[in-house]
Amino acid sequence: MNKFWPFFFMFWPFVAVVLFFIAPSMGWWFPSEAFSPLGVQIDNLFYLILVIVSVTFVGTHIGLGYALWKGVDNKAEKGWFSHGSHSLEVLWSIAPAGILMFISLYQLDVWRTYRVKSAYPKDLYGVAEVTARQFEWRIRYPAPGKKLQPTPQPDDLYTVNDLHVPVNQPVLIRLRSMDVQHSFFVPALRVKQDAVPGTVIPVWFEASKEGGFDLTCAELCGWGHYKMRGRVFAERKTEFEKYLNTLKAEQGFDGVNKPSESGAEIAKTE
Amino acid sequence: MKSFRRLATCIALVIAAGCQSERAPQFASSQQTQGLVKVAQDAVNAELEAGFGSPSQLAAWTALPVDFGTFSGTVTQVNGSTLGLELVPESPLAFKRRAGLLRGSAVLVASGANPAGVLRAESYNVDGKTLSVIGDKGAAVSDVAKVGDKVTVVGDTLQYGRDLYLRHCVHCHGVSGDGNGPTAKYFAIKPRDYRRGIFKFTSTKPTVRASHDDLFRIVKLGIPGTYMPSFMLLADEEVKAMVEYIRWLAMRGEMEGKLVVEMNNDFSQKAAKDRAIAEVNQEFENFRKTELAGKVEGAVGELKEDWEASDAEDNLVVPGAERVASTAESIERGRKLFLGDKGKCFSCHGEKGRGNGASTEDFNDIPGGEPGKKSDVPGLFDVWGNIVKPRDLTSGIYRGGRRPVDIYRRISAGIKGTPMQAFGTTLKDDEIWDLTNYVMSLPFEKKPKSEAKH
Repeated sequence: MNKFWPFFFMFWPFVAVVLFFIAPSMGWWFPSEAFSPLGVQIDNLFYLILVIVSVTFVGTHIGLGYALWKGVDNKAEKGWFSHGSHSLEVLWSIAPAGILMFISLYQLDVWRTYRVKSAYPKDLYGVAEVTARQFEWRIRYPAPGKKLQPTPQPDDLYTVNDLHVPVNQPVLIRLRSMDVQHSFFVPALRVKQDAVPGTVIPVWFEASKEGGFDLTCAELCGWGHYKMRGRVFAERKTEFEKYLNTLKAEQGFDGVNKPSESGAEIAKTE
Repeated sequence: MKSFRRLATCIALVIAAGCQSERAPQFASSQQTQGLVKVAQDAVNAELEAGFGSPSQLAAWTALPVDFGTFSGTVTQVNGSTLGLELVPESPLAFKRRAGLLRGSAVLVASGANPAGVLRAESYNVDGKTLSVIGDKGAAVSDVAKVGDKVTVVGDTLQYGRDLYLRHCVHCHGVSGDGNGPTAKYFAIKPRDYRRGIFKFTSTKPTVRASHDDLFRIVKLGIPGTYMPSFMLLADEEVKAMVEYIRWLAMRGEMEGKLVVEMNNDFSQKAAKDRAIAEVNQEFENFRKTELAGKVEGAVGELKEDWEASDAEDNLVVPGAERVASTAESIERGRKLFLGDKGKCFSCHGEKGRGNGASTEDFNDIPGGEPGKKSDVPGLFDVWGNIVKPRDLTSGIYRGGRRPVDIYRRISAGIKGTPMQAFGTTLKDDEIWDLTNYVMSLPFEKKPKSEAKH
C-alpha cells in the first residue's frame, strides 16, 4: 500500500505516452489530414508543441514518481523546504520562457508566409470576393480571363455558399462582412480568418487535393450561425474555367437563347 | 433522512419533467378563422383536418395537385399487421431512401368496399418485401386488406419535405406557413406567409402562381437583401421535397382562406353579434349540411386549376425578342422610359433609382382594410400589410435573381403581392430590354463629383 502513490503517478505518464502516439496515428489529433502545403506546416507546429509538452509532462512525472518511490522507505531524512530558493525560481522562470521564445520564433516563418503580403506566393491568383452575411457566404468571381477588382464590375459572376477554386494553385480571396463579425473557417485547409465589418481582409490558401471541403462560420454571428455552411470546391484548372463559363452563360440568360453549357447546376430549372 | 427523501423526490420530478417529449407541432388557425363563430371555426378546422391532417399525421388529399410520393403493389399475404407485397415507386427516385421514410404514409387499399386511408404504414422491409401497417382508428388489418388487393402507399415525398421543413424553415415560416415562426419577430423584412398562395419572385405571368422551378430557385439561391438564406448545398431531391411541402402548405392556407370567405358574411362573430346564438348555430348547421361540401369541392377545384396552371409552359414569361445589346443608346432609351410617363418608374424608385420616389412619402390605403381608409404612416404596402420599400436599384442587389431574364420578368410581370405592377402590356419587348439595360447599369453609373464625396 505504501507504494500506491508512486505507482499512481507513474501510471499517467505511461498512459500519456501511449495516447500521444496513438492520437496522431489514428487521426484523433486533427479534424482531417491537411490538404494544403501551408496546412502541413501548421500541423508540424502542432506536432512540435505535442513533443515539447509530452517530454515535459513525462519528465516531471518521472521525477515526481522517483521522489515518491525513494521517500516511501526513507524514514530518517526530513523533507527539504525549497520555498524562496532564488536559483530555483530563476531556473523555472527562464526555462519555460526559453521554450515559449523558441516556439514563437520557430513559427514566425509560417506566420509570415500566411499573413505578410511581401511573403505571399508569387503566382497568387485572386479568385473571388467572399462576403459573409447572416447567414450565408455570397461570392463574387471576376469574369473568365479578367482580374478580380476591388469594386463590383458589370461582368462579375455571382454565387452563394459554393466557392470553387483551382487545385494546386495559391488563391486569394477578399474577405468582407456585410453585417456582423463572421469567421471564414475551412478546417481541412487549415484556414481561419475573421470577417470584420468595414474592412476587406485578404486571405490566401492552396488546396492540394481535388474535392469539396466544408466551409463553416467560426464566429457566433447570430441565431442562425449554425446555418452558415458552405463548401470550398477545389478542381482542376480546366474544370474551374468550365465552371466560370457555365456561370457566365447562366447569368447572361435572357430567356430566349438557352445557356450553352448544359452542366449549369443552377440553370437546371430553366 | 427526511431532507434526503425530499431531495430524491425533487430530483425524480426534474428528471421526469426533463424526459417528457416535446409537444408535437400543430397547425394554427388564421386570424380570419378565429373571427368566425365557434361552430364555423370548428367546421373549418374539421375540413382542414380531414383534407390535410396534422403535421405529425399528414393526409394525402389526392384531389390536390401535389406530388405526395406514391408506391403501388399487390398484396401477396396478410400476416397479423404485416402485408406481404412488393412496392413499386411511381416516380424514379432513390428507392431505399424513400422506403425508409414510409412511416406514417397512408395505405390505400383498392378492393371496392373499403374506405381509403384506414391503414397507415409503419415500416417497409425491403429485403423481405413486407410492409408493417397499423389500422387507423382501430380498424383491424385483416378486415381491410385481402390477398390480391391492389395497394397504394401515398405520402413519402410530402413526409420527407415535412421533415426537412421542420428542420430548416419552420423557425421563420412557422408550422402553418404563416411566416410567424419564433425567429420571425427579429426581422425588419418579414418571412413569407404562404397562406395566400402568393410568392413574390416568379417566372410566371402576372396572375399565375409560382411554379415548381421558381420555388426551387428561391430555396437554392436564397433571396439576397433579405433574411432568406441560400440552401445551395442541399441535394436537389431534398429541395424538391421541401418545395412540394411548401406548395402543399400554401394550398392548405388558401383552402382555409377560401372557406372563411364563404362563411364570413353570415357567420363571423361580427355578423352574429345581434342575433341569438342558437339561431346562428341552427343557420350554420343548415349551411354545413347543404352547402359546405359543395364549397369545399369548388375550392379544391380552384386550387387544382391555379396550381396546375403555374407549371404550364404558356404561363411562363418568355421575352418575345432576345436581349437588346446593352449599348449607351439602349441605356439612354431605358433612362427616358424610366423617367417618362410611360414607365413612371421614378414615382416609386426615385429619379436616381434609389428607391425613394415621391409615392413612398404618400399615405396609402391599407390592404385588406376599410376601403378609402388611409394608413397613418406614409409608405407603400404589400398585400400582407407590410410596408415595402421600392428597390434601391443602385445597390446591385437583386432579390429575385440578377440574370437579364429575371429583371425582364420583374418588369414584365411585376412582383406579385406588391405595388410593383406588370408592364408586359404597356411596354414592348425592346422597351423592356432597354429598361433592363438601364436598371442593370445603375450600380455602375459614374456619380457626379459633388456626390462622389459622400
